[in-house]
Amino acid sequence: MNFIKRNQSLNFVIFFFLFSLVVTIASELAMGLFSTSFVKVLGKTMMLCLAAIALDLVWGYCGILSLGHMAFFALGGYLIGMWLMYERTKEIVISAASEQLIPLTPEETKEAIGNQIFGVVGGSDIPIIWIFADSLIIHLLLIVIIPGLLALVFGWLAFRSRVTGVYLSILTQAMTLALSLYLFQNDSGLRGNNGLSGLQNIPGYGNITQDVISVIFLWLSTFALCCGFYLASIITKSKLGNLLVGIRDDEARVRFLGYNVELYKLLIFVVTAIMAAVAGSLYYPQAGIVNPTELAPIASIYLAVWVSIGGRGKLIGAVLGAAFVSLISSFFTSGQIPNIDFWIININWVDWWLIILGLSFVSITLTTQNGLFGLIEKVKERVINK
Amino acid sequence: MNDLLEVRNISVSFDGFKAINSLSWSIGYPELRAIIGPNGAGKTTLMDIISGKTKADSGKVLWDEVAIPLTQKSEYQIAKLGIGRKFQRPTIFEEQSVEENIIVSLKNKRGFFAALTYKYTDQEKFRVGEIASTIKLTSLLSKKAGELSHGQKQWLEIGMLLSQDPKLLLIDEPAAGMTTKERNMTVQLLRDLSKTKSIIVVEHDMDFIRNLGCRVTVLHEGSVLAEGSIDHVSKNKEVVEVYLGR
Repeated sequence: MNFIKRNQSLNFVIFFFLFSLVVTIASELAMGLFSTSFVKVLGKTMMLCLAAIALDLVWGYCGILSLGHMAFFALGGYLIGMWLMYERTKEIVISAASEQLIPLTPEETKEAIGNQIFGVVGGSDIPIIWIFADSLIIHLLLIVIIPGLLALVFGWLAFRSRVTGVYLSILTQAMTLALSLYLFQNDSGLRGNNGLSGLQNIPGYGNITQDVISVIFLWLSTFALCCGFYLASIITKSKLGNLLVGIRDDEARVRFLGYNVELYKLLIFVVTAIMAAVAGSLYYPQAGIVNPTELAPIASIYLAVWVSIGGRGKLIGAVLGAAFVSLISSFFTSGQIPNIDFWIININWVDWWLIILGLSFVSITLTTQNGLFGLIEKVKERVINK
Repeated sequence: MNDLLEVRNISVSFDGFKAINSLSWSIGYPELRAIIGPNGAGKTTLMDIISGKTKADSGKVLWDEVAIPLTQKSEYQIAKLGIGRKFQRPTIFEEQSVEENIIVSLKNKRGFFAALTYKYTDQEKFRVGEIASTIKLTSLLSKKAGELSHGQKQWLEIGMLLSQDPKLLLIDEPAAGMTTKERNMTVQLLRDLSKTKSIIVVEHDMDFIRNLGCRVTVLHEGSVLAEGSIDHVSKNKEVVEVYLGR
C-alpha cells in the first residue's frame, strides 16, 4: 500500500548475504585480511542496525519516541549471558575437578559455580533468577518473554493513561534508569556493576577458536537482521503500516475511525521491544561483556540519534544511520587517530568526536528532511534528471 | 420517525463552568439537523459527549432502537457502532494519499492482525471510487492528502466518515474556510447524504444553515433554547437576544 518497490527487502537480503560472504572470505581464506575483532565489530553493528529498525518502527512510523529500547536490548544480552556464563563456568569447574580422585557431588558443583560467578560480589549462593541458567532453550524463550512482558506491563500502564509525546519519552527513560540502577546493585543477582563477562566463549565449543566463532556470529547476525528487516517491511507495507503512520500524525482521527489506538501502540511497542532484545542477545556474545552501563538512558538516546541521522520513517534510513554513525564512532573513539595540537587547542578525538556527532546531528536534521536516506534520494533524483 | 440518538438529562462542567446543563435532546433517522448557538453554548461539547471524547458527569446517551448506553464506552467503540465524527480543523492523514486515507477508513475488521493481513479487494476499490466521486476527489486519489486545498481536505474527512458506513454523522463547522462555491457543494452533499443517514451539523454561518433547510436546534448556556425551522427560531425573541441579534 505504501507503494514501495516490492523487491526492496530481497535486495536487502542479497546485499547482506554478499557482504557477509566477502567478510568471511576476507577473514578466513585470505588469512586474516580482516581481524577477528573487526569481524565482531561488523556483527555487532548489524545488531545495532536491528535495534535501529525496532526504534524506527515504534518512533519513525508510530511516533512513540521510546528511550527504553536499548534497555530491552541489554536485557536480551543479560538473558543469553546468564546461560553462557553459567554453562561455561560449569565446564571449568568440572574440568578442574576431573584431576581430583573423588568426583564432585551435584551440590558441590553448584557451590563451586556459585563461588566462581558470585565471588566478585561477595556471595556464593546462586540466586533464584538463575534457576533455568543451565537450559539454553528456556533462556532463548526468556529473551522473548521477559522483555516482551516488561514492555507489555509498562506499555499498558502508559498508553492506557494516554501518556503521549515528551511525557512518554520521559517515562520510558525513567524505566530505563530504574532498571539500570537496579542492576548496579550487588544483590540484584546479576553481579552488580561487574555485569556478566566471558560471553565470547561458547559452552561446549571450547575447542573452536574465536575467529571461527566470530564468523558464525556474523552469519547469525546477518540472518537476524534480514528477518527483522523483512518483518518490519511487511508491517510498514500493510494497512497496519498506514495506521501506524496515522497514529503518529493524527491519533484522534484513527481513534474516531473505530480503531483501538491504545492496543495498536501497545502491540507495536511489545513487538519492537522483542526485536531489540533479540538483537541484544546476539550483540553481547560478540562484545563479550554486558553490564548495567549498557542500560543507561544515554544508550537509547544514541539509538534515537542514529535513527534520525539515517532518516526516520524509512527502514533503510535507520539501518544506514546505525551502521554509519556507530562505525565512525568506534573509529574515532578507538584511539587509533593521532591527536592534533592546533595552536592552544588540543584536539583529542575521543572527546571531540561527541562534538562532531552533535554538530552533524543538528546540521543533518536542519538541512535534510529525511536524514542521510533523504540526502541519497535527492542525489539520485538529481542524477536521473540530468 | 424513530429516535436514533437520545441525550437524556446530560450535565458536564469544566472547573465549575457548566458547559452542558441537564440537556435533553434527540435526533431521528434519517434526519438532517443543525445546531447553532453563541460561543460557549456547548455545541462542540455535546458532540464530544456523543462521540465519547468527553465523559458526562451525569445523564445518559442512548443509541439506536435497542437504546445502547454510550456514556461508558470509549471513542473507538462508539465509532464502531456507527457514529462518525468530523472535527472543526480537518483531521486527515496528511502524509498519505487520498486513496490510502479512504482505505484505512473503510468498514472492516479493526484488529491489529486483521490490519497486518489486510488485502485490498476489487470490490473495495470500487467502493473507494464511489466515495471519491461523492466527495469530488476522483482525479486526486493518488495525491498526498496534505497537498489538497482546505475545502478538499474537509471533503476528504467527510469521505472518510462515509467509508465507515455510519448511521450518524457529527459534523463540526464544515463550511469554515470554504469558498462560496465549495459551500454550496457542501450543502448539496449533506442534503443528499441525509436521505439515508442522520447528520448533525454545527455551524455559525446562517446562510449555510438556511440553505440546509432542516430543523434547527438553538443551544444557549448548555441547554436547548429553541427548536424548529430556521424561520421559526429566528423569530423567537430569546434567540434573537442571545445570538442572532448581536
